[in-house]
Amino acid sequence: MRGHAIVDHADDDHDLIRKSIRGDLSSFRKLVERHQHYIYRLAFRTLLNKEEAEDMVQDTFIKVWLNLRHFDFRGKFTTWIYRITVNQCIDKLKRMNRLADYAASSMENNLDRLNDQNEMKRLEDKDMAAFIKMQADHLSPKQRLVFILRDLQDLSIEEVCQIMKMTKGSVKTNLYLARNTIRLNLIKTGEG
Amino acid sequence: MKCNNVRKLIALHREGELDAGERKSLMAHLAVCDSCKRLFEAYRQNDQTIAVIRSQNSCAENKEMLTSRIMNAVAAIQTNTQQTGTRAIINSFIDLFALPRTRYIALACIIIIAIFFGGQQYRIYSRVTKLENQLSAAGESYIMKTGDQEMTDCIRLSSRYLSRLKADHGETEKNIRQYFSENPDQINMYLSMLCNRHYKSLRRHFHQDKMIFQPIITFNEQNLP
Repeated sequence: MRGHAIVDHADDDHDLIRKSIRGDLSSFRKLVERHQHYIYRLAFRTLLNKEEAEDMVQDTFIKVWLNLRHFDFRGKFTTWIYRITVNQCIDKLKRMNRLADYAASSMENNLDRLNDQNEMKRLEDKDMAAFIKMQADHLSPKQRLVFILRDLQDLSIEEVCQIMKMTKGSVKTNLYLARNTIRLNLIKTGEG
Repeated sequence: MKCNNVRKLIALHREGELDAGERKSLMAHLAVCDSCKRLFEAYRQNDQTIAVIRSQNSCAENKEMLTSRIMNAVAAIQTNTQQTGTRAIINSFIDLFALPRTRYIALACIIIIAIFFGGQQYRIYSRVTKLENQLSAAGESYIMKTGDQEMTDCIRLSSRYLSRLKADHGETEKNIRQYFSENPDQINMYLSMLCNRHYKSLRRHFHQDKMIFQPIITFNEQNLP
């Protein structure tokens, strides 16, 4: 099993989904408790803003609740919910429609907020902050999401293909471009 | 392998990203190319940076509060969308199909019904076609023997009538089969009966086609049993 990204609760999840479809809110609550941290992490790493990430988690679970009856029980719930989150993130980024401006302003605020909340203690050196910033500044939404899903969320290439609805080749190309950009920017940051 | 081609392989060196052949080519190239080896080391350092970020478990400040927020929103939606009466019954019926077992049973039923009706339609269609062919052959044989012009018109009309009735062939087919089997040599009598029996329908369908219709009425009147 891959890293720590997704703990496999597939069968259990399916039972909870069946009960939730019948209107059982306590089962749905268990689903929320079980999966919200993955979703939050993905949303936070994409949007780089705690409030927006929390809103995204809420919107995702509302969407899940409204669409539970369309869930395909042959697949994994985690893949499905990741797919919903990724779509929401892409919509959000598109709505901003000025990704660079958003990223720059959002990063400034976000880095301040990170300082306020002592998050920077966990980011052990300046490279980390620079890393987050370059991620926001220089990657297209697709490259960014592929990179986050694969390298930060630690999903397998196959899972990324399913979530992003992309071919293996396309995922690898986006991943290559993202890693290359990040590497070059890390060098630049180091030189600066 | 050229350095340009190796760069992508270097970037995608993590587990599960390269197949065995690509990995082998990459390693062979790294063994002989210092610049690519340096690039490979640079990516490995980046991996360590990424690993640190990956390991930081960023999570919502108050997970419980976020869960409650989500559940309150969901509960509000549920209250707003709760229906009563017929609509609730219809929706609960539709919800049944959200469960895979019910969905598969419904799909199986649809397939069985489709096969049953499709088979029946095909069986009827082939029988009517066969009867039409028999009728046409018998009629042509009669005309060849007698040279009867009215009979020719009648057959033409009957053929058109049969075509129109394909969609409703149950009764027609039964009638044709019955009369045809009872009077195999009496094709003119059969046609007469057919035309007479469906006189009203014929008039409704062919009232504009007097040129054909008139001789048949005459023919029928002369040949009625």
